[in-house]
Amino acid sequence: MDNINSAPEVNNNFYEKYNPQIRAVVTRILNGAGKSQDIDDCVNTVYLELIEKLRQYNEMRGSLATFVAVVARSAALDYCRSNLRRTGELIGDDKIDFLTEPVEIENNIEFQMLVESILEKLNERENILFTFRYLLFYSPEEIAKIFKIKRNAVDGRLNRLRKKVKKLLIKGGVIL
Amino acid sequence: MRKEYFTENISDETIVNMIDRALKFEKNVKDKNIKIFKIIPAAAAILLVIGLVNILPVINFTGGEFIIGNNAAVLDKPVEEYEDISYIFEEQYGKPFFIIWRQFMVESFFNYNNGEPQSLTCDGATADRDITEVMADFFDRNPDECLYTYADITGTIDVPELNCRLIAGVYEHHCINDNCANKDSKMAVTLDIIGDKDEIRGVLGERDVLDFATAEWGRLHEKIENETEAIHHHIRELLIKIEKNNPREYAGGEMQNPLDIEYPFTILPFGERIHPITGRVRLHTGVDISAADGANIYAANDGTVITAEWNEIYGNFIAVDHGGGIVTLYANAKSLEKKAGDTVKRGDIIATVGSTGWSTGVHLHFEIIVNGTPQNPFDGWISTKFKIK
Repeated sequence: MDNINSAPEVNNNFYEKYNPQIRAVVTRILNGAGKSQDIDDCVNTVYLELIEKLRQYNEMRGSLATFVAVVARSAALDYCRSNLRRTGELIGDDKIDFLTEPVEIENNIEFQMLVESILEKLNERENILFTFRYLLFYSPEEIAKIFKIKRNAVDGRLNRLRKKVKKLLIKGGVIL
Repeated sequence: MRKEYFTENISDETIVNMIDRALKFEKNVKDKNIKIFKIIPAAAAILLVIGLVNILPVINFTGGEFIIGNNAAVLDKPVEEYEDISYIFEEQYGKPFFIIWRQFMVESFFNYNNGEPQSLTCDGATADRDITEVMADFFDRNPDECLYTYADITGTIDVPELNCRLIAGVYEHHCINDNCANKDSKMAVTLDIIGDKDEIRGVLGERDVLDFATAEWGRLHEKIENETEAIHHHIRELLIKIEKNNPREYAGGEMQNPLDIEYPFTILPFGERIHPITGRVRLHTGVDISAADGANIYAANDGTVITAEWNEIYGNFIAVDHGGGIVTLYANAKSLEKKAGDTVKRGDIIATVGSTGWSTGVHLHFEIIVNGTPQNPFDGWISTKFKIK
């Protein structure tokens, strides 16, 4: 399927390999907000998107698993916004704060540059933690299993990560 | 002004890169079952030690000399090469090297009034499980968490009327996670009360608890000073008696090391220090040398035992008169092997190392007193260098 010489296709092999990942991404993002029907609907939407977008897949930009995750994530977030509720409530029992609620800014472009610069200042571990929690919506328990640490340790790290990001946002002129 | 979500302002390219990195990480973990963030405690602690060596000021003992090579040499060695050094210390002191080093770092900087950590106790440390075990256990189970310990610098004070114990200390932060966000956190001087705080508050009121503790701690400090002065006064009195009845010349010669250790490890030198809590200047009248529990203490020179007794601060202590108004004193001992009046030769076993009295760890407190005034043992009396290969 990941044939370097031809674009991947959504076929049985693809389904077998990537369906668990697609369902996992969608389930995390819908996070109990929707019913199982919503998850099925959203997964179907992801496949429709993939059929369209797989032609654009470029393995230089990342693995196929990444591509699938990004498409699934995007589709699920759109589904949430359109049909369910605000993105900010996706982080279940985590602190609702500047990472999950909108913040007031003056200039969009400057804010985007600030966000990118903040992400560059995260170290490898923080970057991965941020991605799992705030981009892919893994639960703290799932993160604990990946890192093989206790759930409490994950909470601690997330707290410290938020503190660091908050500090950098304030330093960048965002009023929180 | 407008409202924007943080994550929605991350560019698509960055999102792809971040998710790619995270998923590869997850796949690696699943494929190889790597134990992430689990660090072998000793190795990590050695790295911590290296980090500490790197940031702490140059060691400068009054009258002693500490040689460890230069910092650059220490830092340039791979971690594995330190096992030779740690093996020597562990064999001699029966403790993991990083703990010995840490105790050394903690105590030896007490002279410099820079608020550096002084802890030798921590939560969970008891008579049966000392700080070394607690730390090692903690980091073995929680390599990614922070351990806060606090100083019990000169002891604690029981306040029977309030059924509590006061501890004054400086919180020290420990972490073997090199990405710890708190590693630069400042230590805080704190007073703590062990006891039923509600009961205490019921008597004193919320605001007064710390004021009370501060006042009690001041009283404690005075007690130490008074007791120390009392002991020296006591020795002066004994000497006056001896001089009157049987004056002698000094036995002569260089005094020998009171401990049988190839690499003596001073954890607190002689000299004035400013107490980090009370801010008062107090003279440390001897040197504290780390040693294994029960190790032999030797008479530094020929002489006569003038006292072998117990004191609340000094614990079991023994003083030997060498003539000419020169006395050596060995305190915080586990046991005393001689009694007043015994004649001793240079190198005789006179006591064993312990942690009696107001001691914060197993060590020998060694003094040289000349005509009733404590002198720095390493200033022309004992030639002892601390060497690490």
